[in-house]
Amino acid sequence: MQAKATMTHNASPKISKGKHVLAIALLGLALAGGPSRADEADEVTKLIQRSLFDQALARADAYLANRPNDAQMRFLKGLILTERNKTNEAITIFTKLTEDFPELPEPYNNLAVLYAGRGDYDKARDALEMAIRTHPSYATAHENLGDVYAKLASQSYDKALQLDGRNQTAQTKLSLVRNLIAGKTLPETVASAAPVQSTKTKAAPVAVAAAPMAPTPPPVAAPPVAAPPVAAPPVAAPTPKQAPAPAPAPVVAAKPSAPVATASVAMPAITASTPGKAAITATTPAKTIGNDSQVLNAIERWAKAWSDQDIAAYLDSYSQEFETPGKMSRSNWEKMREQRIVGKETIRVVVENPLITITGDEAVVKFKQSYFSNRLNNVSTKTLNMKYEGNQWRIVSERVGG
Amino acid sequence: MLASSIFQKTFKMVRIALPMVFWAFTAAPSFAPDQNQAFEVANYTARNSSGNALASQLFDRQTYRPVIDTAVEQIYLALSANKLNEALRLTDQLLEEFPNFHVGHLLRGDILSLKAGRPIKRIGDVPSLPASKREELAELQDEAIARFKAIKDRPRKDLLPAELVELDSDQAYVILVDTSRSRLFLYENSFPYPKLITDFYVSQGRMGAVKSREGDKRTPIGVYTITELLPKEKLSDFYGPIALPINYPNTWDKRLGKTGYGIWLHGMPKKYASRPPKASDGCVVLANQDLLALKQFVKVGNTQVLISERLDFVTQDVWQSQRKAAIRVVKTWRDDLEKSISKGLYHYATDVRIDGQDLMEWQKSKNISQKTFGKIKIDDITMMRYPSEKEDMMWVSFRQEDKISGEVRKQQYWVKVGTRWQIIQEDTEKI
Repeated sequence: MQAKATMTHNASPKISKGKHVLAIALLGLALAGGPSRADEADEVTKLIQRSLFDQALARADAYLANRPNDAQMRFLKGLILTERNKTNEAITIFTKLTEDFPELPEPYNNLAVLYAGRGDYDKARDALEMAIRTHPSYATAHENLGDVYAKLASQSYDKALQLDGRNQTAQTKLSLVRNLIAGKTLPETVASAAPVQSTKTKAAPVAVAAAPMAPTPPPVAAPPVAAPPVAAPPVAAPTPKQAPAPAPAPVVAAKPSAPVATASVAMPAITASTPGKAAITATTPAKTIGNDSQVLNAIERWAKAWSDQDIAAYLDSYSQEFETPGKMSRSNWEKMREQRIVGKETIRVVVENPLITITGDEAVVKFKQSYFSNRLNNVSTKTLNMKYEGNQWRIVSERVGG
Repeated sequence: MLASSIFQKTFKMVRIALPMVFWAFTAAPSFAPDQNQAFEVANYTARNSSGNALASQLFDRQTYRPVIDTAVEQIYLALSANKLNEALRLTDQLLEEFPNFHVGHLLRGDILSLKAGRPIKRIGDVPSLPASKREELAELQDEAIARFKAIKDRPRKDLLPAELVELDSDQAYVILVDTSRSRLFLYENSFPYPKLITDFYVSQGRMGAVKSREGDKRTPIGVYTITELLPKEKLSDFYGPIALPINYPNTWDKRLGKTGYGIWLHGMPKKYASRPPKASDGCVVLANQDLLALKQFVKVGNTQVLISERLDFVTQDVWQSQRKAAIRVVKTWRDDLEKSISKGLYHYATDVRIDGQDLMEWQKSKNISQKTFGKIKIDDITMMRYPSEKEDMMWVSFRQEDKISGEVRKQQYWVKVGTRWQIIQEDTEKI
């Protein structure tokens, strides 16, 4: 009860001020690089803090010239561009980061802040929902999303009452947070915005600090051998929510007990794919090439190649028509993937609850992807568009989210 | 870390749960016979698919599914099951098709407000509403409430409108309008029970129902016939694609001294997707797509429109026994009239009007007392409980054949005086 009352009290003045919190949580990103990179990032951060954006940008660019994929530096560059009001460029950078690192919520969050700043609340909402999908407990994203929902609500009310003029007056302003490394003093805006504060003042800083740290535990908690037990909770939890079909649950639950299988596909989920989807395949038999199991095999191969870090087989899962993220060249993309995959100590990719819709020689596959590496545990919904190419189903596009 | 995330989850639940409580009061249905099938808005442990079970129990449209009504029902069910995301998705989908459906935008505002953690105290809880828009908001809220109430109070699919007693085989479909529900029901004449084809939201006169005089901005109640189909070419955009005039005032209305004219079933200007519940000068206003769908079931000069303040939905058993009793009343009148004039006259009210004459004039003009009817043949009966603000009334139309009358079509209005049904008006039409 009390929580509700204070919550509203808390939320409304913030909306009217139109403040958004740009979250910068680099601890997770920092994991991607070694200590020397972190030092360089530290330097750039300091320059940003002193508002020496030109210098910061030059330094970031110089660094990125050698390591174009460095997530942390790209993130900083995005911040610099945001500071300099180069919104479009900043959006490009954060968008690419979300494509390359869909498991990181921060780029999504900042993307959302930029969109909201332009008044594009629908896109802001999509981005924030993605951030929360990857990190359900990400407090900053929740806060920002609350603001975006409130803004969208007021837009809807205006449409209902045909109040056309009201929107322009309340353009949301960004409040850029300058502390880049988690653990330093928390920005005031974040502290006051934290939803938890309403009931327990003490809990606020903890929750806020906790969110950026989300990626940290996996390396500690998940050494390669311990993979199956780690897999167990995410496997068990979402199944009943996903599909009312009772079939998949027991089989999926059984998977972790087979330690050899690095890539496992929950077979029954496909046969038990929702009646609606089944009907689609059933009613258009003439147009359908192949069947569920062929598509399923292709996904299984893909997940296994990824898990085995067999880069040749992994890349072969992708069609030559594959839409590379951010329209990078095929060869750059292949290099990037190789770097990401072969470089890891261990990778385990689990595909669960695949939902396959085949139309002609095309298939859409949605599933829950659980990704476990020595550095990161991530569960997300993934959608693959696949095409049957002579002998094999290959991926033509890949995106996170359903 | 773990503790804080659990705390946050709990917090999120609280945040969503509390605002939703209002649905339980404003929108939870009261008709569901089984507690398990009622919406349990506050009960999160049982929020599986009870919504779907309820939907399958309620929605028994046979052919036409009105787009807006169907979507609003789904949104309502999603909200009642606390599925905010689903409700939002459905609303977005509906608004894509009907961007002018302002109630949809209003609901979307509420849904997003709930998602933002703002408690919603009533439907259309618009913060900082400019005074100039108060009336507009009230109209939208009225519409949303009317639409939700129609779902909430929606008759179970095994119930039948007691107003429909008997439909002649010539009457393939019949239109029932319920002004308190803001709803039109289309029934098919089928054996053994009339079958619901579709039902959807309609608007009525600005001042509500029970028209009595010209310009009172009320919708008449009674049994009417669609007399004409006015095509688009004859109409301004205001009336939508077609219009279906009805014969208000009918002979009973005229007897009561009711005035006015030009009561139609019509559509709406293109810029609207729906109108407030009370919007017209007395006409029944339908969404354009619903009106065009309805048109296909209408036979001009034949299709009847019963407009009631409150349709009485009863179980099949009750419906059947009421129907038998009503038909028995008419049969008894016929049987008695066959036996003797004096016995027959017992069924006529003292103030009856027969073809405009009182009982004495009628007997004289026909020289009735000198004759006997002999065998009276009655068939092609259509019978309805007649909507009346005061008395219990019935309306019956049938073909009659006998020595005195020859072959005629008769319409009788019956009224219940105490426990006795009596004819209050009879109109004859030679065939």
